[in-house]
Amino acid sequence: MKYMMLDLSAMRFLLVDDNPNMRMIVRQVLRTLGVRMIEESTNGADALEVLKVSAVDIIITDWMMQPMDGLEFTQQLRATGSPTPMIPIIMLSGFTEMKRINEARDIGVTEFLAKPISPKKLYDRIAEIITNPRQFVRAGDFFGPDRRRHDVEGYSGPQRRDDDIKAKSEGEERDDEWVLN
Amino acid sequence: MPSDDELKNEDKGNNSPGAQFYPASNVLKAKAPPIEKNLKKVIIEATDVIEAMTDDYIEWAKGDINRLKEAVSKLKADSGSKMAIDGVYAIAHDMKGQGSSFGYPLITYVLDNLCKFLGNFDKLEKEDVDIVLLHVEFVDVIIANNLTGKGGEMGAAVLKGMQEILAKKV
Repeated sequence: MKYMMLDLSAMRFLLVDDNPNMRMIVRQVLRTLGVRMIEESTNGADALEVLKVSAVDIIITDWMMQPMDGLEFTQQLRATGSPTPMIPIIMLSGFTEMKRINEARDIGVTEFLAKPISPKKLYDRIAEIITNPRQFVRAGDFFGPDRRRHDVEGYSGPQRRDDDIKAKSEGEERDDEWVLN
Repeated sequence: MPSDDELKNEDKGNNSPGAQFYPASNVLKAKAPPIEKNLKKVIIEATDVIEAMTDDYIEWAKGDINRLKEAVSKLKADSGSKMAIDGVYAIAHDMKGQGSSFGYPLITYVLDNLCKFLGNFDKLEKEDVDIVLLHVEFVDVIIANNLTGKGGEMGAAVLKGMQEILAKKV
């Protein structure tokens, strides 16, 4: 039997988090998944500088950072005139409320992943970005990945992703594995 | 930004009025081809890598608890100001995101409650600051007594204490 996974060795990641411990955890997980090139920044403003000199393939960013948080960082990346408006962005955040996830999505984040980090879920998000890239859409003020994969009004087809099903069955919060009940 | 030539509206379903669609890029697909490697095994290795950092985590957590205590002292001194609330929130939010990764779901649970509590206020009264301090003391107990998982009897006591706090808040 053949076991398959994606070869991530040629991919360059940018990891943006103000917490050095969290960066270390994610860096070690990425390395184990086969990633060799990892840039790091402590906030959105610093990350924008990194992107000027480094050809990054995927960004993994925290939400809460100073002076520029993950939302503003995403906004700037998706803005008109940005050199990398379609770069995939995974937001890795301690926020788990559905309204926060929707807010991140509405700003143009590609994938949302709640902390604490799960290597499997992180790999799944990366693989989703690579194997099933989304078209982008400009509609009104929004420019970002086509959101319809998640909740198209009137969409009656199957919800294929485990997380979609889980989110629906659990109501308000997603990825809350740590809940003790 | 993709040029106008790249704009395509002909995909099935792309019929939203006024919306412009930009085709998905397959560049990353070419850059990250499938290889013969056991993903399950790699995921287990990655999980082990995190577990191997547990001793480091405990030191980080102790440092974070001290920072939390300092932030709560500031909260008291600043009469529960918004800036001081944000200071506590930022540390609690970071800690919350790490506890469960290292086998301390109680930390994530307690600090999730603290974040939700702090999110309700622009200013805290003295009794609210006491509630914040109780949360921090719970976290201190969890780390000091190595309460991994559900934490046994002491963990149950922490949970009970949390529930009492929550009941008071309601």
